[in-house]
Amino acid sequence: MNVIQLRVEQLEVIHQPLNAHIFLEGPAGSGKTTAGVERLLYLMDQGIPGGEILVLTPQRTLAAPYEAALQVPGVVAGSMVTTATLGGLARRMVELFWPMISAQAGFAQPDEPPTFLTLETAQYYMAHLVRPLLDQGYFDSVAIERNRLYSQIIDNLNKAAVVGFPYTEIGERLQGAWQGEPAQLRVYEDAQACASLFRRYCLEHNLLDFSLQVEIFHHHLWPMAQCREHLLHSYQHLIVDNIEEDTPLTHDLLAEWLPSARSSLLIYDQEAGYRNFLGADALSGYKLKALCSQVYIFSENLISSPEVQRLTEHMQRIFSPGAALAIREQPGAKQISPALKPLSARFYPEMLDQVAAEIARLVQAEGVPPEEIVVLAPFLPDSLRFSLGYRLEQQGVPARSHRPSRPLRSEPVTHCLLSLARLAHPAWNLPITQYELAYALVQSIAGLDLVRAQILCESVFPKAWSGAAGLLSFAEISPEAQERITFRLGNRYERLRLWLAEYSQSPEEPFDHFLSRLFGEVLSQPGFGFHQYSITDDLQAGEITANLIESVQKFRWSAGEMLAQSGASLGREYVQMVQDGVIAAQYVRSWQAGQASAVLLAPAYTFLLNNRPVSYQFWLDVGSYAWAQRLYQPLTHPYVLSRNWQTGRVWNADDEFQAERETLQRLALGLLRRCRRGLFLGLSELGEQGFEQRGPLLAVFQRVLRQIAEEAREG
Amino acid sequence: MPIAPIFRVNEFALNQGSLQDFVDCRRRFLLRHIRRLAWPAIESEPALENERYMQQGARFHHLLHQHLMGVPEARLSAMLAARPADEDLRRWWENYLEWRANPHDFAELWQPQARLYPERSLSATLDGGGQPVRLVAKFDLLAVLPSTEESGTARLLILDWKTSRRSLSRSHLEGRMQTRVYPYLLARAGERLLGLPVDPDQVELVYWFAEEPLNPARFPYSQARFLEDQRYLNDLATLLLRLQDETDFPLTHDERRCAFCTYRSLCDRGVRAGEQAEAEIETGQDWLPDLDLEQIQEIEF
Repeated sequence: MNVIQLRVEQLEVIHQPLNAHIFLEGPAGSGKTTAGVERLLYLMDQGIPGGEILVLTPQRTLAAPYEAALQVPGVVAGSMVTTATLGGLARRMVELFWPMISAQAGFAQPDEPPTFLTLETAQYYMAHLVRPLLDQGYFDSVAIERNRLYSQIIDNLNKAAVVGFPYTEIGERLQGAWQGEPAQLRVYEDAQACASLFRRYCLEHNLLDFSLQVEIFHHHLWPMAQCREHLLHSYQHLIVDNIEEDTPLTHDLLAEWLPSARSSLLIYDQEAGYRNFLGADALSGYKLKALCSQVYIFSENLISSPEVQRLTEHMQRIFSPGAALAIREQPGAKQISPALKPLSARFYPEMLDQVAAEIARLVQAEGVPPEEIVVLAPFLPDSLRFSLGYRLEQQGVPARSHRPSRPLRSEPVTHCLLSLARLAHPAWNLPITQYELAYALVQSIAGLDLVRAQILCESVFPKAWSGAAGLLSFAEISPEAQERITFRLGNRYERLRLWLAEYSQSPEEPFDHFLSRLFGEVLSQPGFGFHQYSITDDLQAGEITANLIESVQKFRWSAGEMLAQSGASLGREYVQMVQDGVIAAQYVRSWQAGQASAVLLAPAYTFLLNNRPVSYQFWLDVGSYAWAQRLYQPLTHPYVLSRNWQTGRVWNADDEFQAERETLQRLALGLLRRCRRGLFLGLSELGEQGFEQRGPLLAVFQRVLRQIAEEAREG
Repeated sequence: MPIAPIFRVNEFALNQGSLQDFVDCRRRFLLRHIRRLAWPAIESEPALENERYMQQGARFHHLLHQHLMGVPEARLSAMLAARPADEDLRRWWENYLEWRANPHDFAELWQPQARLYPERSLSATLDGGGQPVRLVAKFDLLAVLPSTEESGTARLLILDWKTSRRSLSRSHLEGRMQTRVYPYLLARAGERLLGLPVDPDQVELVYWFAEEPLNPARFPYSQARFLEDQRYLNDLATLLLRLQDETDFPLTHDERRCAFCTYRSLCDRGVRAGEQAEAEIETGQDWLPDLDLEQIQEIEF
């Protein structure tokens, strides 16, 4: 174990006795997680079997430093450490002890196995139940996409479970805090009715969404001796990181668990609590401090340069004017200007040009590794992702984007697969257009460009829809068109057409099997679009196809039996759900993908929740109000449904203002504390949509920039 | 064809499956474990039937885990009775219960004095020519059987539940990486888990077949075998580390394997998956891995 570079206070925490209960707090970048990782290795080094240690984090990505340390080959041999989230632990326990609690938990078929729902499949069932109610006038005053309605009802159930109040109180709590248009009260009433309906349906059909898994764990398994003893006996040493991002329910369980544990280390990040929209509660996490015999506070930032720290403190002072925070003199930091560089332009594209040029300069002239640079914005729309990615590519800088909620359905590969699926299943009666066919062929056939694809489609596309069987063969089209398309590409088209036509004449397969077969037997074969074979080529087609197949498979495993009973085609249902946006085909595996040597383009919260410091940050859309504002969520409310909200109190404009201010402060300071050397601001007079933007973050930076100007005058 | 690695061998843990891939086809090892390349073709035919069988296998493992964790037998039997379609599963369960009632050579296994560790993992470090490489394994069941007059010392059993459709010959099992890795890891790393020093001579690996419960395949371990496995696994780790720098991961010469490998199209080694019933080669896992439905919750950023 290498402890040579650790600081004295870190070593003190790490080397605490093997029965110590430690509370460690400090701002981001002060070395808390490093101490946590080293404490874990120390415990193992001192003879604690890895299997007795549980590392609990609110989100799987936050366990990455622990998992990475455990992968290091020199780690002590023996049983393996468990890393988990409370949700994951709950699911495992429900699965293990299901036969013992299924009846008492109220499931209508206690002898049948449970079906665990993903976010997607929960949304599917929610849509299945709520769609008829929408036709009856439910939520008629709400103008948002249907899939967002469904996800907010699910979100309410999750909040009830992790905050710890009965789901039957959702509507009442939301109504009690409302003081605007009376129509909104009806919306909350409808939201409650839908949540109750969904819960009843789940209990009748052994379906377990996240909220039900957590509630069963809380109410039935944790009190059950067999389960509790299994957990307490298995995991005698707890390391809980980022407790401020975890839920009150997790904190409640920890409060009961800690007295039985032989040792514990709880790590609390000050000024954080980014996941409050998911039910996180920093306050209830902080109360666990009282259960720990040893308290350590790390206050020094080990990441940021003195200039960045000075900038952070200026920002902190602006956010907390009443607190009269003194700016500490940072050794070696005379000015903050080296840490902050505005890149100003009148128009948005010009600003992006500047950002790309500056990144290229950092990488090529200063030798900054690309992975040490991130470009952040409150959102990452496809247009921004594309336009900045293209500019960086032109500059020869590798870039990758990460937007975890980017649905698979937005990917061209997915469009291609679903279009070909519709061709292969004429009985679904979901015709595709000539245009969709052309795009699918561009993806499918290596070397086929859009112009030739359109010529091909004009010639082969059937007049009346009959699926793949209706497509003309390459031999049937005019010699002129054949010449222009080339016979080499024509033969590939023929192979694909014949495969689809042959399939369309046979009985329908499970949809994920169809996709696997299409991928393996045609699209990934030499000469086809998904067959990419060199070190430089993009192999994402396989990844995206695998993600889609997994999404379909989970859908089939949870909804397959029900659909089969109703005689509906699962594939058709899936494709329709994707088209309607109910199933986004979202996928999270890429979230944990290895770090590529590339500049990261990401939404600000995504970067924060990955908890990885970098040398340089570029913040775009600084004038946007989205840095501070909550998403428009008319069916839910993260503050009102939190444990800290007094039931019946009205949420007013002051609360909203205060919430925005706190959000902005947490976000801006959290980002800065993960910045080593410099922050670049992408400022344009007109935003991406062509409008002037004057959001609160811009106002903060205007004050900081005035300070820089004063510094410059002072010389 | 050179393909640059993405993950390096000493950045992740090896297991019996990845090592089996390496000895079967180095290219498959590169694509699956170093490049982590998702390539979702059909592995073997008939796909639906294979999937159903693998699910049954996974459920059987889960069922035994539940039982060993103390879920009452009557509840588990009632659940199986409620699903007439799970014929294989019910038969395997009945075979298991019957074997428990008449365990023959394994009577001590079900005595209260035996210490059972279901679904446990162990890890240790291999010596890859001076560089450490991590090796891990997850065991279906580890058991410490108290010493008897006959044995004179405690016995350490590794039980591995097999739900394969066709019987696996002893010589086939003997050649699998699992047969080397499991007892080696228990001997190397079992002490802290079990709380007693592990002598390789105490260890025995038992493949228990759900279809042939009275005919388990037993592989007693020994100090000599331990040293031989240690040499073999260290050599393999050394070779892996050397090869990843040379990016030399050739395709298997045994092209029959390719019919049961999802990368066949990438390697230009065929179009359709092979028929499982005709397979002479074991296709890898005989049950599905746990499905990880744990998710990161998120909103539309």
